[in-house]
Amino acid sequence: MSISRRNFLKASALTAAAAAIGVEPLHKSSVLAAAVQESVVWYKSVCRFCGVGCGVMLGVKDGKPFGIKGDKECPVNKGLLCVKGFYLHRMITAKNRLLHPLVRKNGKLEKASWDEAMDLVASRFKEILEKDGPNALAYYGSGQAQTEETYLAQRLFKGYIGTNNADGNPRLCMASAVGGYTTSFGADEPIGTYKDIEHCNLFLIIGSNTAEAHPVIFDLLVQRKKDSPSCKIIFIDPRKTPTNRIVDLHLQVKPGYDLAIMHAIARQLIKDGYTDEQFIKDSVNFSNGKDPITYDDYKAFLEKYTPEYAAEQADINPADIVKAARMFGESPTAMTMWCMGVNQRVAGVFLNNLIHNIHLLTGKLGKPGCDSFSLTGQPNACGGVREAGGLCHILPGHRLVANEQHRKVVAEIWKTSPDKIQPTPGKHTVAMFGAAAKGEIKGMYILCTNPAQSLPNLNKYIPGMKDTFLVVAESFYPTETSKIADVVLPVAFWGEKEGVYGCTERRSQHLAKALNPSGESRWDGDVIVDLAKRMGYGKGFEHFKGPEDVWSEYQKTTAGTDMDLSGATYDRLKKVRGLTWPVPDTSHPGTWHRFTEGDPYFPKDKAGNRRMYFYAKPDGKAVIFARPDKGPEEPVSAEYPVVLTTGRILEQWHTMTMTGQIPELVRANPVPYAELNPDDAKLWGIKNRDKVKITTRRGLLTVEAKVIDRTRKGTIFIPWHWPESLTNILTIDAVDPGSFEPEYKVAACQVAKA
Amino acid sequence: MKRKFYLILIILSFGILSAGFINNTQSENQNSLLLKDKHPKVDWTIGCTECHEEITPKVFKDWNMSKHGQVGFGCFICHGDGQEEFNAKGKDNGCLGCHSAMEVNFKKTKVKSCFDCHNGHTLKFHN
Amino acid sequence: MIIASMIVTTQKGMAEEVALQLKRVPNLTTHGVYKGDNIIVVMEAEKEEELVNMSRYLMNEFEGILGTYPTFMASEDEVDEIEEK
Repeated sequence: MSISRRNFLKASALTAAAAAIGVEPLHKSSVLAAAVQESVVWYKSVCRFCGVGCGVMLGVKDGKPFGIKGDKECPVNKGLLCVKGFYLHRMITAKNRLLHPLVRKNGKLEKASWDEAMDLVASRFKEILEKDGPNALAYYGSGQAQTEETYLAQRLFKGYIGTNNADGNPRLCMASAVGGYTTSFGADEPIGTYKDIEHCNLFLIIGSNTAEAHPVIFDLLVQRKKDSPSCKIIFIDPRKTPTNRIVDLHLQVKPGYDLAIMHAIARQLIKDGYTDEQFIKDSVNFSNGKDPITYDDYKAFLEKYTPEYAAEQADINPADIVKAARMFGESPTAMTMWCMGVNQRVAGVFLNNLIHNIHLLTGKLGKPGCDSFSLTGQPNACGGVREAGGLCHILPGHRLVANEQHRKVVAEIWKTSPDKIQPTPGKHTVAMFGAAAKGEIKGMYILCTNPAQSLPNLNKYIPGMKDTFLVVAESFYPTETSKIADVVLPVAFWGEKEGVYGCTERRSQHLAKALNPSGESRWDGDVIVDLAKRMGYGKGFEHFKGPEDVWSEYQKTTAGTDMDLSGATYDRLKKVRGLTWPVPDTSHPGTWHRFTEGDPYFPKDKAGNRRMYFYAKPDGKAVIFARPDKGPEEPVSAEYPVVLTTGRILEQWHTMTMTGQIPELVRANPVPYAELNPDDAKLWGIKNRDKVKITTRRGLLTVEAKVIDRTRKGTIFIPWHWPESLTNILTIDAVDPGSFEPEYKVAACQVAKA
Repeated sequence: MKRKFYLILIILSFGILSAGFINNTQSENQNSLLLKDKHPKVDWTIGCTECHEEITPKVFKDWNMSKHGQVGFGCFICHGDGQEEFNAKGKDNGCLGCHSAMEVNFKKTKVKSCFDCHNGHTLKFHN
Repeated sequence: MIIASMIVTTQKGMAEEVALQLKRVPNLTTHGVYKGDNIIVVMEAEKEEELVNMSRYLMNEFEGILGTYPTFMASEDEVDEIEEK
């Protein structure tokens, strides 16, 4: 039976129209927009900024960025954006894009060719390697680099150059969360996902200004409160922030003195009978950090932590602690969310453990609406660094350099000798820059981060960075770090390269390449492979023709592990809005809750009747830790009587290399400032907008005073974004002994009118 | 392509002002169709809300209580940064960056902007 | 001959009436009202300009049409022979 071409075309036309109707009114653009849209192509991607992982569509017209819209199909944000993501397309063509390699000649950075720059880097690195050994070289990467880039860098430095001095900036933000998850549950990253939010009726937010730091998650909470009027939110934080808009109970604690509160809550939960005894029996061990202890030992340990004791430590009302405990206990569901206020502490890992403790005591884990859910700061700290082995002690697939079997497995995939990978962890970030300051590290490759602004106690580390042979791969110039580099390599920015980001909720999502790299910039992955070849490791890297090759090899390192990404092929990731691991094969939909029914690795045989089995622990049991209530490294004193805490604002991202280029975003907070409590300001004779001198034992900074009722009396808050006002010359570089994460959140200072 | 050229002619001849449906870089082209707005010269080292909380208290309150105010979508989203770009009435071409499901063909309606039905500050419909 | 399809959206409640009126337009076939106020139409034209004129005509001459959204366009001119059914 024949069908005319005309009829076939008419049928096709009809089908196309019908299909369009079947879709959300995305096509409902006016004839004008349709005409304009004809030449605009929309690419599916993920926001360049925080760890929420919002889906965004980048529109390209005539080879140039045209616009941004939220991806309505992405379950994370359902089309919403925050103000930073809103302007992403303009950052691609910002005036400060670095378009050509730069090499320092006679003290000045001058334009150079790629060949010249790369030859210099390779020869200097080889020279240092031969003369001083692999540990004289280092790599410092980023939670904003794509997974493929971090993976390649780790492969080169750990697997070929042979040094474990390969760390990343998540050391400065999420390392304590990693430490908490691995000690409490046996493996990194949350047990649940964002989906738990719509089932949860009690949120406990600790050390997080969610409204400004994770705006779209804040929006999910706002929506949840609207949908469920009985939903309550408890907030433990030294500041009143925009997050307070949805808070029902605020424990405005003294910075650094909140561990006792978590113990007191645990004590109250036990006393009031809110514990899940069966769950504890089935799935929980107890430890004092060194040795196993019993449940009774733990209860005895908690006796000290009465609400009165904890309230005195934190300078709050004891009744509020009891109230918080009861709200947490009574609600059948509970999610705790936290961020830098918990992690950037010398007791960061401890505090993470104590958060997991209350969820383990009450069994509020591994079921809808229940989770201890760490909020990740950067867009790919999870995917790239925590999962692909981007810290000095780990290897891809949640493995450890110290584990012989782990080294063997990874070395085979990396096509290198297992002896090449050193068994001892390398230098963590602060130690790495300390070693550079001492001249022990002579050459460093820095990718997609700005340590000359983001390290704590900057004055201690900048001279050392200047003395080290510093290679900076960066999309923007100048930055504090690239200004002092020996070689600056221009690399492709967001939208100009394809790759994968893994966000807070274990969701790996594909970012499309929508544009060609600007100027002479190249994909970071290409540059690393180029360096590997020039250093003589070509054989191990020449098979990588593009990001997909790298991802495919990386997937192999995850096969069979708790973070299995075997089912997350590029093909699949391009079609779907991400997949939450473990996703062991291409027909698996991804996992909501780990360590329980639905997790493809949940061992039903071993678990028996138990609801949860923490299979990353040898006996399947998670651990409740009896940790001491450690205070801050630098408490206030007579000489330095004011608490200094640092953090973020909504409109700016990190060191302002991107968001600082957008006048609208700068308008929100045009100049650096310090938040002063109104009572303090009155006492100190300081008015709004007066210049104030902030002094710590490490440095002095002069900023404008913003007198506002946010911080507690005796505390000031300074955002760290402005390169012209480096907040981090004030902060302390004391680190958590477990995670090596610095205590940005608490230091002691003096405040005086300038 | 001839057809594209034809369509663009139609667009220009109708003088359509809806400047694209997403936050896009064509705003400069569209501005040439509108009178250029100028914000009074002020101390540019402060943000919008610093002044406007005092000098336009109702507008500030309306915005602050609205969903945009709650989630920190500041004045600049619609009005520009004030110094380099300023739109007194507020541009609505950014709305579709988050609300692309709500697009309307203004050619066939009496209203010509999102703000004709949605109050730009309270965001309420028809109020 | 060019074949093209479009969605024609109308003001609330006016789709049925507009669809009836569109039946009288030569070279335009209506294929029903869907999802409230969307009419699927398929058009035939000798030249591309005619399609453009058609869009303009619909938008200007019919009360109640909010917009026309092209969804498909192809030409059958490349085919050497046309088989009639």
